[in-house]
Amino acid sequence: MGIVGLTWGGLILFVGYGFLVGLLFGFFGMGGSFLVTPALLVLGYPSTVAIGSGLAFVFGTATIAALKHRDTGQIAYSLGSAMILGMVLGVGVGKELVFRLDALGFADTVVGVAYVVLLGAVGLFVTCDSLRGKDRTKQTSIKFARRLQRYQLPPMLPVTEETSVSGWFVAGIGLVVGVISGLLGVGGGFLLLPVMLYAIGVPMTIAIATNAFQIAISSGVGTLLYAQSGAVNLPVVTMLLVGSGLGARIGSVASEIVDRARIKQYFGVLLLFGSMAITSKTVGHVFDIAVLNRVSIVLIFGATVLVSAAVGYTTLRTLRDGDATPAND
Amino acid sequence: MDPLTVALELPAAIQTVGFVFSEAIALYVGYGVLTERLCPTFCPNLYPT
Repeated sequence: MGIVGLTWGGLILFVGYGFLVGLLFGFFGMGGSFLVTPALLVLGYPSTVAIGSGLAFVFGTATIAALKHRDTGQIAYSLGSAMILGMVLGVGVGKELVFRLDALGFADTVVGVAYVVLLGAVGLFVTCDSLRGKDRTKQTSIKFARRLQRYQLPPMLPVTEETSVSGWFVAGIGLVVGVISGLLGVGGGFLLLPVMLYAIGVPMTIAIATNAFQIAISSGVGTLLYAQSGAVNLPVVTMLLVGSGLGARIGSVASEIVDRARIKQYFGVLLLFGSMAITSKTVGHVFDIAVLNRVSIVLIFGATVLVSAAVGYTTLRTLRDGDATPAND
Repeated sequence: MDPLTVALELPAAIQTVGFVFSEAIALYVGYGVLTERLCPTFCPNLYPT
């Protein structure tokens, strides 16, 4: 018994999971797909379907977020457009790679290992960066961004009122992130956010808003490409989106209330948990150890619940202490 | 994939993209009304006036 091809249990699972992922997405300014695609993988969906559905989910959430951020006027359209050019090309390349690997029978393992490396590396970087302290990070990021901004290769795109960056660099970064997006079924926000902050020198609020705009367009193209091969599970995507729509709005409000310094730490821990879950799943798959499959499910769903609870708790505590800054709404 | 296969499969792919996009808009508007109209009354701390 159930509706749209899902059992009632599956329906509740995907709506509930979507809500939590949406909450985190609204809070961190990322597609949340690095939790959706691995979750679909550990639940036993084929890698092509997990990636295609992950991209379709990101397309929905990023569209909602882009509309929301458009209202606040924080999207840098010229910067975003250059990034989109590169990302769209990259997504096509990534999708081709996945289907070729799938034909050879390597897609599950390669995607799994790629997730472990990527989530682990980015998670470690963000967590260490966060633990080192804000001042040092700020200094490093400004130094690197200034070095990149020194190359005056037209067309130059405005970053802040005083600084600009070459469109070629931005499109090049977009191409690399696009390939990863098409290959892993992620929006790329977890890579774009640090890159925009550290390498390009975009202010945090503008980086989050512009990310949503870039990801909405590139994941839309990715969804189209995967849907052409029938690799998008619409009932699952629909249920995830229904939950995440509400969660994203709440998360977005929470991000305006909670101290920004806390954001990065949660972000890093979440990525590390994602990496551990995929490690467990891949090892379980290769050595045929069933219990590791269950461990990976507990890790990925547990991490989402815990970090969502941490975000909610911090927001409520900030409100209670009366430190909240007024929301833009 | 040859051009004919791409052309034949495109309508279904466009429908998928259209469905997800329209769902996102519906959720944005629906939840927008829900949170922005109801929250100032029921959760004023999140929406200070």
